[in-house]
Amino acid sequence: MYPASPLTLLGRLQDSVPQFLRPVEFRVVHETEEFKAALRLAYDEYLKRGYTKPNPAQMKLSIYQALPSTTTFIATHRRAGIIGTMSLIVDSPLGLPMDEAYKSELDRLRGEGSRLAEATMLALNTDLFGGGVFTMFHAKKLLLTLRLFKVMFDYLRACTDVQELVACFNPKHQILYDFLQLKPLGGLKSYTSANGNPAVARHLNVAETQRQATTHVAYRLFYGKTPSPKMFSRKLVLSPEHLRELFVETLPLFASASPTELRHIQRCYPTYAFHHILRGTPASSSLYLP
Amino acid sequence: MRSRVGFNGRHNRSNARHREIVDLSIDERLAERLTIEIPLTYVIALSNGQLQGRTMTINLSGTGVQFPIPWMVPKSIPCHLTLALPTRTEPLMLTGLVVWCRPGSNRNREAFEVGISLEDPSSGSEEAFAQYCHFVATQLLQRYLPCTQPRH
Repeated sequence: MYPASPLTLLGRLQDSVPQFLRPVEFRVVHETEEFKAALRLAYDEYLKRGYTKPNPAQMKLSIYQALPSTTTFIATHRRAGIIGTMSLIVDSPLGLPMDEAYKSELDRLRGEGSRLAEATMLALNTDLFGGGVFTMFHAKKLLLTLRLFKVMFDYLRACTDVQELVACFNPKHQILYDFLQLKPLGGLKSYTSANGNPAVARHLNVAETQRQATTHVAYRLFYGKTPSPKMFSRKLVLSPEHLRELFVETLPLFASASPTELRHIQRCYPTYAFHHILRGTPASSSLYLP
Repeated sequence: MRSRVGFNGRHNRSNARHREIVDLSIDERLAERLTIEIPLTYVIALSNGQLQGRTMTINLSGTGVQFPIPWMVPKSIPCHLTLALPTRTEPLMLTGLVVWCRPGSNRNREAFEVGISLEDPSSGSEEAFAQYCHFVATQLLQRYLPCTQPRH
């Protein structure tokens, strides 16, 4: 027997779209190894596009992922592993990544009393599809993308009180977000976090999508059965050891965080001994000592 | 479409040195074809004039259109298309190149069928291209959503 590459199993021409999707599970990450694999996938795909600079960890990791309210979603194939990922970052005293370029626009929504969350780090394994495949024209890629959005959207509705979903992205993806009826939020800007690439910002009012669920074909997918929080009960919560491994030893994100940021993260984990997590770093002096 | 060759996974024990090599191409098609009838007009520039007409598409995708025509035409010549998408009040104008032409199947009244590769749908207005993309994506979702709904 000469086993074919798992990726060719995914992409055989004769596979229909249902066959392609059947072995794929869409869910939150349950374990730290899955989390790291998702971060590596996002890093690899973003690096290919020039959206990130190389880093020694070879992961797309930021301080926001230390927050327990941040959630990472994956599309995981039974044999090929993680083939897609995206993250949802709920607004907090740390703000949102896109505050870097769109703070005034986000503050306007915040001023209206809206609870915000940013959809970010969408990445599909492009080895599945070859180069130059445009999502809107390719059923497998389109449905893989939308099913990832759906699990994120289910989580948003079942487990958060988020009212406005925000995102910023390279303008070349604008057609997809137009299709999903995200509304303009901020114009073209250079986005440092995307390696200086151009970005535009959009937002989506969650309640409004429900009103459109019968008329918009993608929203019909998003508004199938009412999601239950039980679907997300195994969502990963990082242990103290993994917080240290990722945010101290892998990348010095805690060391470069502001005291305010660090104290907020500490408050999110009231039972964790942060002096152990931060031992040996200058950041340990920023800790809140009750 | 680029091909990769590999093994088909079946091991022929009696002929181990002559392994069957089959095409295990990754699905590198740039776009999926939709069998759909959309009214279109075409103008194909020939060396001795032009061929123009009105017909219905046989299928279309983000990167190409197939439709019936009365005559054989050579490859690699320009073709101008105007599509009347049901989602648009204004017709959509696209340009492309003939990539193949062959005798038509019995389903068509015309003698031949032609495949046009769209040169760059975005060479027209951005709004027109976006509407074309939305149309194609909507058709794809309508085709596949009923059989790909998640099982909760």
